[in-house]
Amino acid sequence: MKEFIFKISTKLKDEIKDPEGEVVEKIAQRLDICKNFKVKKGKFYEISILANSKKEACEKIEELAQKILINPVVEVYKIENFEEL
Amino acid sequence: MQKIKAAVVKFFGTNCEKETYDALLNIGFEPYIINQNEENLNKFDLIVLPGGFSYGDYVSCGRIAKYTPIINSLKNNLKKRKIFILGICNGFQILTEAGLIEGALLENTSGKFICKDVELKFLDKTFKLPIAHHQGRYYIKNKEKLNDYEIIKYTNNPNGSYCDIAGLYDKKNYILALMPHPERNLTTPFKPKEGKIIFEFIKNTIEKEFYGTL
Repeated sequence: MKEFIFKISTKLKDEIKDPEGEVVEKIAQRLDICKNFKVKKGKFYEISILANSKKEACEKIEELAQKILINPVVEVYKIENFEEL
Repeated sequence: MQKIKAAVVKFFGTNCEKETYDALLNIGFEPYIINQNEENLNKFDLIVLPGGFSYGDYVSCGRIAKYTPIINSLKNNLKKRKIFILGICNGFQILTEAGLIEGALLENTSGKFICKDVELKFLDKTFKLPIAHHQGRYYIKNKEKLNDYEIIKYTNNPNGSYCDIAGLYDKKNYILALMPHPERNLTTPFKPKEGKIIFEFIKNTIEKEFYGTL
């Protein structure tokens, strides 16, 4: 068995209103940091998994993300990075 | 006539089970409080998923609760027999996560936790019930699926819900889910008793549709 570390981000789908992201935009404009930008709030997970192969690890992580980390009706996930230890 | 047996499900983090139990007792049900590991639901005609913060709202509201044995058992019961399900607030969130009600519940448009009385319309009746939630903005992608439901509407939308939706009643499967708390306007001193509109609707539906006695 090998150990794999996955870094996964989740966020609302682009077409869905994100009030927290909008608040960050408004405050940043008020502070005169930047005028034209979009913010989407999300979550970040770091997951360590033992598996026989990279393929098996990826399959398990994708099932975990679909079933637990997101609600597919309104959210999406992205594997940002993974490494084999 | 024998009383309708109703189960109030207490998940880890549920905190409205006592007032829900009292409300059911007040309306004339025979209520029991059961936990999330109960799988034998045969004696119950009504299952209530009450308000609260099941599993601390970890990951997202209702996400963890949907994988408990009782939700699995509920799905099996729905395939085999008539059973009425009521989801209040966190119960509504669990039902959408579990796929038993279409759509999803998202953070309120204001980004704030809203705690106040709101006016509602359901089956030609107008009444007030309290809401207390941060994630109550109803969203649905396939709008045509709403044709399968009776809608409980806010008269003054507090949270940005699609189509002013405060709750949905699936007539075919007897599943009623709503964000407002009917149990809080039934047994709380000095509050109006308008919560009985919801509980009496459920009682009448079970007596008529399940027992044929109304």
